[in-house]
Amino acid sequence: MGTLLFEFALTCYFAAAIIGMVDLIRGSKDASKLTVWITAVGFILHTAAIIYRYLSAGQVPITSMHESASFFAWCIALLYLVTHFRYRIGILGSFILPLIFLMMLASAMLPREIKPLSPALQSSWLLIHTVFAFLGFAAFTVAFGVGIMYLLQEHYLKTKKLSGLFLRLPNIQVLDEINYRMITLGFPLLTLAIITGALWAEDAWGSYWRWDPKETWSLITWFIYAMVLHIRLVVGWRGKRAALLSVLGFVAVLFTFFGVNFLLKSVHIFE
Amino acid sequence: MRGELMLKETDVAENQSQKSSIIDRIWSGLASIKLAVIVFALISLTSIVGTLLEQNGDPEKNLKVIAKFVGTSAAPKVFAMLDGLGFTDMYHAWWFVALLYLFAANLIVCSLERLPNIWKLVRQPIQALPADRVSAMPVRREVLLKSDRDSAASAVQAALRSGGFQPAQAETDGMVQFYAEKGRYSRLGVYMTHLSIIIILVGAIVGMKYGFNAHLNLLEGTTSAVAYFGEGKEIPLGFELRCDDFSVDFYDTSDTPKSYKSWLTVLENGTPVAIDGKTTTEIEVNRPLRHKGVTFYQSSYGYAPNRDSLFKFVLTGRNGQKESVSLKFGDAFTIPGTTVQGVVADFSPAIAVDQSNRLFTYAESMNNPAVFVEFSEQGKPKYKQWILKRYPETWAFPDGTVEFQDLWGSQYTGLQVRKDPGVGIVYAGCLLMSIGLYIAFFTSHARVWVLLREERGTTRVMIAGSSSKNRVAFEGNIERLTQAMSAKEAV
Repeated sequence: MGTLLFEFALTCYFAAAIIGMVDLIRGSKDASKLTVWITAVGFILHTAAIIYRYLSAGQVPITSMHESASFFAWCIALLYLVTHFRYRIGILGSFILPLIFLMMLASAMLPREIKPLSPALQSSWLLIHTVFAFLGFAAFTVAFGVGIMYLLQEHYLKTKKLSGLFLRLPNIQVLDEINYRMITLGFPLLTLAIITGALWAEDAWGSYWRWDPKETWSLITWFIYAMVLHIRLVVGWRGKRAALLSVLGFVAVLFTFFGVNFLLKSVHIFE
Repeated sequence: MRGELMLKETDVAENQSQKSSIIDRIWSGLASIKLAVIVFALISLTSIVGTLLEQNGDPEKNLKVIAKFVGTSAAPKVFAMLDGLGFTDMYHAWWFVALLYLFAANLIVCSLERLPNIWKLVRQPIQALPADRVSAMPVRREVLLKSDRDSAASAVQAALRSGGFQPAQAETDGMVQFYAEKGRYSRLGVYMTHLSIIIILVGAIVGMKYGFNAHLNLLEGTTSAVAYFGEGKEIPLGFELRCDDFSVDFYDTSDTPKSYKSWLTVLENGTPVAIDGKTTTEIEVNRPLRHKGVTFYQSSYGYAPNRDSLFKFVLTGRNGQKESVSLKFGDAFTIPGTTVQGVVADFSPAIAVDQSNRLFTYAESMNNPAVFVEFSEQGKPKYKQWILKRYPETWAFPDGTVEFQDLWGSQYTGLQVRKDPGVGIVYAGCLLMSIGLYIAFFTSHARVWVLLREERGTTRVMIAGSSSKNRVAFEGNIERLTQAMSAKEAV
């Protein structure tokens, strides 16, 4: 049942991503609408899958890489839907859905068994810390998608290719605004994730900060987005530089999540 | 929009660099946001290297990591260079610490440079403006109300109040003007956040200067007045700590630990001290023991069998009579209500059966402890059996049950011992940062001016304003205010 819900959600995201890509190439209002509604259906199924797993495991389902990637995808879908219904930008789905789908696919390919909690994870911080972290990461993911749109749009403006996709992308100020909103959402969330992580580490590992790779990488990510926020204050540095940095920031987010777990040695790896 | 004011101040800071005094130049250099961005980049880039190389780790491993990037032949040279620059213990290297100090200095100077103007803005209440300045505001709406000036004025006031504003009234250029603001303190959010970072850094420095980070392995039943750091250097605790017991629980029949627990007693001048009303405190991961500023964390455990270790059994005779016994290797016990005696003849901390049904010890820790007990009655051997702590089905005998509880005194608890008087400061900084970021990103300083001009029985109303950030949302708010004015008038 849980697996079925998960697979259905994955399928929805896949379909929405494909339609989104078609929309990007062909351009049609109906395709944009379809993308949103299929994503919404996928999101509901995904929510059910997460609740089901929570009930059957009896523990917060954000402990293994499979569960975390799935929850990450869920958070991106949530923020995508919120952003869509707030700003009504049909083409946004074409940029975000592939990311949701890839994250979900990564989750699908990782070992799915429910593992008992190691002693360090048995804490009420688990839920708070992970929710802050993944919602923050999701906001940065949307900022990344919007940043890519910004860079594309700027490229079209510079090369004076003022047709096709250019006409369907929102204007550059709106993109800059959404990018900024997402980062001003993601930054406090990441900060709260780091703070709650520090409080937790203080109890579980005996130190609120010890330059563990996971801690350090989240700090690196934090500094990159702090750069985005401050770069906007320097005359003439806003816009493109902020968009480029939010792309770079997303790379750091991915490394903080995947890279540290798969490539580095960290006490934060629980598998 | 956000930062309109900041930009002007940056220009001020940049202009100052033309002055000749060196102190002025350093000051204006430190007041630059460009410097801040560069420092963020430097901290990030160097930290990346710090996470790729294992800190204070095995040089061989780090050589391998470097070889992946630059090839095997160049690796030793690059390693020697990075090692020389302190990258193998970089978070304590002088230049990284210097970078953090530069970060702090930049943060302080930037804030001091900009705070006075912001403070003025926060302290000075909003004032009525001449009509031409109102109509030059970035966000404007106009609406025609079908009533005279006085009833229009009360509709405007009601709308402003319902929008959370407390309007003041003035007469300018023959027109009635209402003006109001809210969220003035929102402008301070940035500075609260900056201050919180300084507080956190101060907390970290206090911790490094006046605290310590040590460890202590304590065998069940033993007491220590010191902890150890580095290569066996002693740190006095100021009291004594005794480990009364240690135990690991596993998930079902697996070797996945569910919890590690230690039972600890604090002693002062040889007498147990009550902590939270109890002299023995149970600690586990996520639940440390704190006493006099020193915190003991459950961090590891180990197995160190010795002659003084005690086998603990709960014996139950067939008549239901229960008895707990503790005995050393080779000592005998009697099952209650019988003359059957048992002697511990063998022990394994982690027993398992191999494919040919032979018993073997699979781990050097108490994962699955078992005792081999030989029973006899009046000197005649009766039966013998392995008794496993985790498997109650091995406890039963014709003459009663023998529950094997523990080999007490053979396990030690690995404690991390830490004193950090800076933690409270760091936490206060974290709290301030959360509040500061909330104020900085989720509140804004909104100002509105409303002009009323009577035109032949109707009233033309102009609503204009500015917000310190999030112009799109502010435009929505102005729109709602405009609609509210028409609605209030209709009533």
